[in-house]
Amino acid sequence: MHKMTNQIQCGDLAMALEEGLAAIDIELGSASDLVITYRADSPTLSDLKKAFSAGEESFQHALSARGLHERFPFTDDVEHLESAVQSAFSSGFTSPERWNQGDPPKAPLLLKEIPYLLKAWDEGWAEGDSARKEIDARREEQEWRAERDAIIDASAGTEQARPHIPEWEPSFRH
Amino acid sequence: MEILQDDLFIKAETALRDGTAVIAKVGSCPKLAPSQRDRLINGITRLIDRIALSARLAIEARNAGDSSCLAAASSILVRHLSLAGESLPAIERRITEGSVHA
Repeated sequence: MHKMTNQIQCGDLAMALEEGLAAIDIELGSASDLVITYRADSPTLSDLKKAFSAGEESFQHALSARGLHERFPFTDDVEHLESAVQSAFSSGFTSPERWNQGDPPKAPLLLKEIPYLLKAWDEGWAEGDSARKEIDARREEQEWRAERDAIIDASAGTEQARPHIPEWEPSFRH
Repeated sequence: MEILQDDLFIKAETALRDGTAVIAKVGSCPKLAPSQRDRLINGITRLIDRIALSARLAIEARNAGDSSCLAAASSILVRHLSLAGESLPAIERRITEGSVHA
């Protein structure tokens, strides 16, 4: 026999929310949850902003270092690299010996709590590497074409045999 | 693309405000059993934490010019915003209107 109370029952909604979060975890490949260190009884928006601003600096430094790092391989700007290195150092989670050209800055600690957000970070790196390889290949091809043109120009008007031109790739136009 | 992202960030901000407001209502609802109150606050807090964090990653990735990271973070954000859109109004309605039974 049920006793009538004036309490509001929300168990179904709480369960639906918990299951929704779990479903996202499963879908995105994570079984862990974010560890909340600042959680009080009822966090307010300003509490949230405060909590996130605590990690803000390192977060921004991380992404700044990351953005600079991704662009650096395409430039010879030493100041650019130094700026990226400084950003990485001051982030607090990237030690000087671990952050070098070709060694991506680590993800912010906040992201490490949530594997699929960390994965988003890592996938960004993977795509960045791919784009970098493509640009490197394009640059090498341009250098090779410049070398080829220089050889052809140098032999123009002479009766010498066609000079040796190093092979590059199938798209070379005869 | 840019407009869509801005729209997404506005939705994230709205969801954070809505979530915080619902937490406040749940916390001050006298008709809610303490165990259910804690459970709801815990669930909503987890949800808005994730919205805040994925939105943050998306915004910072955009500022860093990292399109692939931005796309991944946006996708994660959309999933959580969808859950917020389903769950927060339902919780608020229940708290406000009350579904009182044994």
